[in-house]
Amino acid sequence: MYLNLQTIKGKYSFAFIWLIGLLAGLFIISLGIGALEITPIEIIKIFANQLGIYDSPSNKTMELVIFNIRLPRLLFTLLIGATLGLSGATLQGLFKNPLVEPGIIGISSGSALGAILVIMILEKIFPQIVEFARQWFIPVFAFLGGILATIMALKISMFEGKTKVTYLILAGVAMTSLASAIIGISIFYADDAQLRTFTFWTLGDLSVATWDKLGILFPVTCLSGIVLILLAKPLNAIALGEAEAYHSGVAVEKVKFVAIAFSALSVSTAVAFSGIIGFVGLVVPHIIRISIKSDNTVVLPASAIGGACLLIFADIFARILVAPAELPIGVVTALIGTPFFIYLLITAKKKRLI
Amino acid sequence: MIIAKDISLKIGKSVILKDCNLKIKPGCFTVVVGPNGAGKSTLMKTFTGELQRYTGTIQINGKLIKGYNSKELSKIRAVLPQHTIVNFPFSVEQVVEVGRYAHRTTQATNNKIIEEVLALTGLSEYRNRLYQTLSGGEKQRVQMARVMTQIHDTSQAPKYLFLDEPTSSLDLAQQQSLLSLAKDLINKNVGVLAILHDLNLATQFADEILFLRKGETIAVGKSNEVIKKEIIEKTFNHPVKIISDNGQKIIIPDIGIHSKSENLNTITYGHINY
Repeated sequence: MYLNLQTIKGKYSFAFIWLIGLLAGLFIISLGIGALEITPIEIIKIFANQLGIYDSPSNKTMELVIFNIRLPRLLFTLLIGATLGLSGATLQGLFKNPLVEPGIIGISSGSALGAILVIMILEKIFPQIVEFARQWFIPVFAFLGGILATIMALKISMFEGKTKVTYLILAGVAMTSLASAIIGISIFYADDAQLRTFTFWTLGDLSVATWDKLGILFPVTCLSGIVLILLAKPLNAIALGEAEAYHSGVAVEKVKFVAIAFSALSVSTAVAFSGIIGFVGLVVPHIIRISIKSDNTVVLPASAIGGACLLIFADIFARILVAPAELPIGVVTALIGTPFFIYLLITAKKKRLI
Repeated sequence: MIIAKDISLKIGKSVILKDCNLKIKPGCFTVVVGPNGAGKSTLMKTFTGELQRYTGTIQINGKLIKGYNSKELSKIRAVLPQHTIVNFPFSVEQVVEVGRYAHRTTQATNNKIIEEVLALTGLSEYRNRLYQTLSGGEKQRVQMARVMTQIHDTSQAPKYLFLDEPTSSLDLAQQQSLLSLAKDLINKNVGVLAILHDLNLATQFADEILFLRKGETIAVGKSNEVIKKEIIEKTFNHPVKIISDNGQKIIIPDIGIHSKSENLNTITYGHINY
């Protein structure tokens, strides 16, 4: 982090302050909104009380709602949004391709395959563990599926000790097709309930957040986050071409491996818990590049914060639009993000940024 | 000094380089010429460290090239490619800054060096322009500025600059200005190795020339000693005339006689992307 903060130049630190302010605002709003309305002042009081800074009689129900339901969900959303934004930015930078998102190397489809196998097979063989399976087996198998698909794609694209990016993307596409074929077969045999579970999983679901899951998600996300952000400078060199980066002193193969491994690790973990949430990883880095700068020392950290903002914002809508029910988060991110993205595309076209 | 001894390389059954010997001296502008597929780019890749499967030895400043890691290597040699595509809207400054990647210098020092080099290459006004919006010639000048910042160093160790057909997409004036920038560097303890297609540019700028054909050295030596009708004809398999204008040699293809083209399906090994 130190390296990057040092290089963020004056005018861009303003953008960071703005982004963090936005995140803080959304944080408070998200905690307050729901069946039980809690005002921002109440929220601050409750936190102050909890930390022992300020002692006041606070509402026990509100405390329970915040600490048992809303806060874990909010942190969950924040971490997943940040992971998706950051890995999207990293992989786009690495592959020098603006269409790349974490799904491109097979992570999402591998995870989906893992999930449907649990829904179709494990739940059928052991019907008595359905609840437990949904809580823990789906994440574990989704994670394994995602990692496995990435490893396969990496193995296929290895050539004389080097990873060929074109092969990697093609191998990712192949993995995706294979996975969707198997998913198709499973869906063919699925009953209505299984179909529903799977469909909702692929649209993303943040309501599964608990403190236990955060205990896994938090360290994985933070570790990968720090590692990926440290790759900003080598990624800037890789933007000029792999040969050029090598000539400039970048250990290209090492950077490639670390970027892919940690993106796969963090995205598989995120997808495993929340299901597939598209759009964030693809579009947030573009929004940052268009509206701030395309220097990776700015794009990577800003995409993490931006991804978190977008997902929290979308989650607020997902919860209030059809309350007391909830819209799938994946649908809402696309619904809210797309118009904004199209607006940015049009303005960027005029400025000839793309 | 870079000393290459008996460099040979085979890919499958075809011989790409055969017993190539070359010295690149600091303060000397060395040019490699030869027809397409002669192995020029491959030879350069062995010098830059990209290709390591050759037999023979290459020493840079007294140490085997295989003993350097990419960071150490990048502090003593820079490579200017034919052209560079940047897919993201990077500013000129950002592109040039990549040249400082391996150096552990402060941001302030880097800024000073970048400023200096931009002034030297006539790009001071372009600093905040987007690379993608520049013309081909301007882009190449930005890349030249990048490699110049890379080997810009106060330490006394000799540096090397490799140019792989740097002028292929440039107009006449831009060719001259780019190669002049490289030529000026040799006064700063830099050894330059350039692959050029234009024999007249080679004659004009080279101190030493290596003629390469099918991986074999046809001739190597001081420019005025090897610019000879027989050597050029043997290398390119085409008759030429050398005329002299105020002491400057000018090489023109002899269009009166058509040589027998021996193999139309020459395979180019120059663009394997490792």
